[in-house]
Amino acid sequence: MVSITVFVILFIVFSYLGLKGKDFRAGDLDLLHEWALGGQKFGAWLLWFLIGADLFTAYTFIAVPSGLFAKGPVFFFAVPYVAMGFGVALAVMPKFFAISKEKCHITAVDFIKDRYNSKALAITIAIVGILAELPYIALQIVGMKVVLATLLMQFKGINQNLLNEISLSIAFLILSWFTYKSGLRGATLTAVLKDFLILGTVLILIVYIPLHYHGFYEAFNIKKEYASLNPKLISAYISLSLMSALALFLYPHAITGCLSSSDVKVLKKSIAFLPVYGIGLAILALFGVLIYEVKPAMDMLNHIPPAARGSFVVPVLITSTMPQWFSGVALLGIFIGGLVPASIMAIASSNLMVNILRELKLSNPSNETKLAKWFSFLFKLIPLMFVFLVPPTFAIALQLIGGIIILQTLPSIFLGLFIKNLNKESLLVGLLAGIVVGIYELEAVNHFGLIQNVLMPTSFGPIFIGVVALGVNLFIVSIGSIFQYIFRKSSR
Amino acid sequence: MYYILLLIPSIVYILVFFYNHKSPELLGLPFFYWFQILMLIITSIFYALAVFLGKDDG
Repeated sequence: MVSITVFVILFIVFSYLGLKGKDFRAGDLDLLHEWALGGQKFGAWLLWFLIGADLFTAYTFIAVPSGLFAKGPVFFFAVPYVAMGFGVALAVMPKFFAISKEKCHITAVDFIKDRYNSKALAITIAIVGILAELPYIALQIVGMKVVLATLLMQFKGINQNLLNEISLSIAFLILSWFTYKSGLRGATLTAVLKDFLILGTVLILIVYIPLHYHGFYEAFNIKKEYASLNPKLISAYISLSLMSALALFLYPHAITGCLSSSDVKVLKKSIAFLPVYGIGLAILALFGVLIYEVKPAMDMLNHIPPAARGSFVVPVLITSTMPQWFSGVALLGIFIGGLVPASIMAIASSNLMVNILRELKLSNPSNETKLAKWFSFLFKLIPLMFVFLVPPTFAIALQLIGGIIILQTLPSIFLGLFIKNLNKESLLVGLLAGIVVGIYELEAVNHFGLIQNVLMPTSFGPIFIGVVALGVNLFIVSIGSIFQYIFRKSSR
Repeated sequence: MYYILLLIPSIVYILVFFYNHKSPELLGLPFFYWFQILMLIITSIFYALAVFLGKDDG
């Protein structure tokens, strides 16, 4: 009971901060860039928290530890992915930011429109962005459901699932309400609260558990095969981390985070220190192995159906080793760890929706902000319905597809920054071909059933499907652009 | 210079065979894990050097 009381009190604090966000470095919230980008007034510290919040999602709390728990060290690829991802960001985002700031862009699609002047390409990239974002939001909700289920575990004899879904709906209504009111400012302030709670929890657990159980010896004794990576999986490890790193800043919510910076120097500074943020992620991942030596936690896990066991690793590790009040604080941290990114993702998706409406001449500058606000509401509702209606494994499968399709926007966005004369028709064809190849291969390696595997066999060993899809895409783009170059030269 | 400093940490991470070992352990934690965590800090140092020393081409 104590844990639930603490949880609810902190949730009220969280909602208050989210709503108060609208007065933070106040601006006219009827203007799109004020609502969607926080007026571009964020300094290095706030930006660090905001971009970090994009990274520290329910996916990292639930999916990465779950992967390590079930499959072992290959899932530690999340660590090099984070480190490399910010290197990619430092290479491309300062340039992207400078162009966007100069031309008052709010999304990557604004940039695409400006650079290529192609309606078809702009709309396609906006749709791909939204399609990649929706299952990501759904995954946040799956993570939050796990937290609520852990909290409710202590009560027997009630309809836990119903109570879970009601609480989840209430939390989402509150979130939608303050996202509507405060926009990115609300998300940023709550991101700071979330990070303090989560980093605190992670640090206390990583000191307490090894101290109490005499280091990691026992865990790696039980799981001897987890001590190092199977050499056969090195190709998978490298391709997964490299491609995820390239995809990280193609996600609309990551771009939104960057564009809210006050200037380019601030952006560079905060990205440079973001790999440190990844230490929290690495420790969370380690919990997936550490849990094997914590007997009370393993006892609790054994009551959970095997298919869902992995996702409960972190919440169960907390409740089984820590006092009730601490569990309340920590579980709230993880819970809002899903809510805050969901808010940023919904804002980013609704900005893309405005792009689409603008291209189709269905909106005008006077109603765009209003439309974006309502769409941010809709883009939280759709994933919520989705989670209630389909099993969680399906949400995870869609997220894996999302990762592959968002990668296909790389030539248009990242390469377009550095190479001026890319051929716009082949960018579109390459993008679509990459998506088709990616999804086909994904279905093929999973024998056209539920998607669980994202690796395909090659002569170098298993590699991430994204590599092949991006390869096809880049091939088409370069052929098309070289032809265009030669044709223009000869016609002169 | 800016891009070279950005590239170095990624190259270290890609050379998996270099850190894919059990020993030396740290409190029972295999080298594979703690080396990559330590590398996160080193990565930030490299990136910070790039940002502060590299030319401002943003």
